[in-house]
Amino acid sequence: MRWVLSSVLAASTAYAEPAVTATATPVEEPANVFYVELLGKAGAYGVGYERQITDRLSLGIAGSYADLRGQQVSTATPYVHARLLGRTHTLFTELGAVFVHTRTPSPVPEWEGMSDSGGGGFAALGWQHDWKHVLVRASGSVLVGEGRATPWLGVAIGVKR
Amino acid sequence: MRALALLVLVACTDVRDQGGPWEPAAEITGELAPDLGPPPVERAVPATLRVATWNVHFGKDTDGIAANIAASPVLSTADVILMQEIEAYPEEAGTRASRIAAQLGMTWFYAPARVEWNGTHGIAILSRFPLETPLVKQLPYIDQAWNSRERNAQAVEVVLGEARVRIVNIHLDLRIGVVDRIRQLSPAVVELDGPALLGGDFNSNPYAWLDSAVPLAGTEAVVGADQAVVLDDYFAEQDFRGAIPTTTATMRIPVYDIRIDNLYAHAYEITAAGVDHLDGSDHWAVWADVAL
Repeated sequence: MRWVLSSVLAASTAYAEPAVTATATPVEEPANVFYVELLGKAGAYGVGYERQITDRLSLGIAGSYADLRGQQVSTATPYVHARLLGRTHTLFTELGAVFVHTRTPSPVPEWEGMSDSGGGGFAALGWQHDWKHVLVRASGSVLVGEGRATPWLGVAIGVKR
Repeated sequence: MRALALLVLVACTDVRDQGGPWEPAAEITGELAPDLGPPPVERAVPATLRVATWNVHFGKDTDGIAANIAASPVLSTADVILMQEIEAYPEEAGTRASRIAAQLGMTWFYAPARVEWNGTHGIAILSRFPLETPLVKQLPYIDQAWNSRERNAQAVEVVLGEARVRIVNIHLDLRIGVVDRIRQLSPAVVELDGPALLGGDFNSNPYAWLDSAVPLAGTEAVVGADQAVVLDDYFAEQDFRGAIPTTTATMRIPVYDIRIDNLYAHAYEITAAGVDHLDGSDHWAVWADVAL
């Protein structure tokens, strides 16, 4: 996890605006974001929460539960969100972990079904547009899991409180 | 918005029926009548039977497929070859299975699953030994958002002197989740009695599916429990042993190496197995040596 935070902080520092100093004005934007996501880091959909911890960094978690024609998939995705460029149109990155539990009940009498749990990580790069209390995001990500890496896309809409 | 509309559009997958019984090939008439070849040239019974399975991607280039098999040190020595996604058209000189088999000196059993254009699409078993008791079974029909298709299985006994080896060939749907995949596969497995070799294109892709439309490549990639893993667990509970592990690819698509084809043995010992990287299809062939 340390390398994840280091990477985000490094990225954030690399794009720091010259005017920002240790005595910069306090963060004025709402510190909490609640959102729903489609085909994002949490699977088929996600419900997420983010807490802003600095001007550029937030900590978040998203999760989902889906019954996909009998196969039950639960996900939990803690992550770090970092604003790279912009204010109303924002380039952002996210790094985090993905935990998934899948239960496959048997549709036939001769088999008991099975379940499995796994974990991995993801890195995302996305665009965000902000209004006063609402934001929308679109992102592309790479998920790395048990023996596989895969590209993935997601869109989200959220409210800021 | 488009994704939301897609989700609404596709939320209609259903299992329309439970499939049909095992039917003797000779009793099936009309457009889906099977095509069986004459007994092949007699040969000595081996101590090990080499069985292979290969999705030939419609099998249009019959000469090329036969040449690829003949040029392969592995597949050219196969005693039985299961083929999937092979077709037949009235304007062609015989079914594609028959033309490939004839070039390899094998007999054949082509079992159409459905009408395709003015011809048929199905599966076939090619053999260097005589075939007995050919049977065909329609598998449960999975009604999907688009392009739903009839799927079938075929079974036959390979005559090896006084012995008979039951072999089953299967081709399952592509865009279905693993629960529906087991539901479609099960009737062809549970109704077998005694020793058997079962193989084919199980389309065991590494995704969960949103109603046969959107592959959830992300979550399944993380879990690592792709459909091939679940399929192997199902077969293990039926006392079948698979030829190759889930990590051995039989098809290459962008980003993924996936195992969607395999062979399974019940009450037979697999002594060697592997993948033959043949040209001529989007799949590679899986082979296994089985002690008799």
